Amino acid sequence: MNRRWCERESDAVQALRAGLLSPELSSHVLSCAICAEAQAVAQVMLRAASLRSAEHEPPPFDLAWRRAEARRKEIALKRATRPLIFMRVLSVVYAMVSVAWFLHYLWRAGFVELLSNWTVLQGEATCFAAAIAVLSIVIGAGYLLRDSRRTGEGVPST
Amino acid sequence: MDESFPIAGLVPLTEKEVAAMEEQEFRSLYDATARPILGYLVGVTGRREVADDLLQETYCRFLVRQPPTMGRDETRRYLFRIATNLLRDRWRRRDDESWQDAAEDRFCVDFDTQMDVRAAMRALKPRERELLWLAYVEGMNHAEIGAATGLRAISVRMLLFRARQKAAGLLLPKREKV
Repeated sequence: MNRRWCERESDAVQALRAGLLSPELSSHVLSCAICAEAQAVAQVMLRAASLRSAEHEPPPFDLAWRRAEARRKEIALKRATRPLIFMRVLSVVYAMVSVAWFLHYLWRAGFVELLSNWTVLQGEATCFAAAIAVLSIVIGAGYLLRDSRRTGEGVPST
Repeated sequence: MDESFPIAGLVPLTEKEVAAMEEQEFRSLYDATARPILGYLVGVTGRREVADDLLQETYCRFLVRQPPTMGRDETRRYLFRIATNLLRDRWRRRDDESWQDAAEDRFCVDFDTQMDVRAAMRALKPRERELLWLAYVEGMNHAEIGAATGLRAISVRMLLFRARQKAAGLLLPKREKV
């Protein structure tokens, strides 16, 4: 068999499926090894498929419908929380830059010299404000961390 | 309450009514196409539970993507394309390349045919199973198979030729080998 395909192969299979084999096509199949082989294979596969078709009752349509609804909601939620994720990343970058800047500042000024000359922290009100700021940051970060662990997606559940 | 489809002379539909209409349209599409796609998935994987899951995922992706309005045949090919891509994803993950069938044999009228086809399916590669099923059970031509699998028509021709020869060797020796 030198040829690898015949342009009438599809017609031969379609005719077999429909059960309408014209005399002209029938004589072609008899003379064409490709169409004959295609028909023979198709016949066996079609018979097996039709025997099994009774077992192929699809599941109810609403299973797929509900899955799609849930997927749509999930996508919409991800879209809605995208700005929050962006802000979170931005805040982490900002915190890292601030810490780097502060350490660089300490290193340049000389840590001990700075502390001895820095009289700002001696004020009671300044210390209180700094403590509140640190406490707020810790509580906020803790809440976000707990929330993202609970949702498992790194986005707030709200 | 959103106003949708504000066509002159017609009462605007509510969001709920639009959703109900979409659901109804989807139901008729599902009724018309689910059986052949399930048959294809079972035929290629040999696993009913996997086929059921892939069938639901096929329609789920179809609904989520919301493709532009297509004709009936085009929609059918598009669904076969999604199903084929899902099958490929499974095989890429090496989930289950082998063909398995746990179906009960006692209901089979033509036991020999069933056993021959099962043995052949087990021996064929996943892509060969896909091509043979689409060509001979679904009756698609090369261009349609190309649209359903993402292959070029010329590649389909070559791969189908090889798959058919292999299948003929497995299915026909006891019968009328051509």
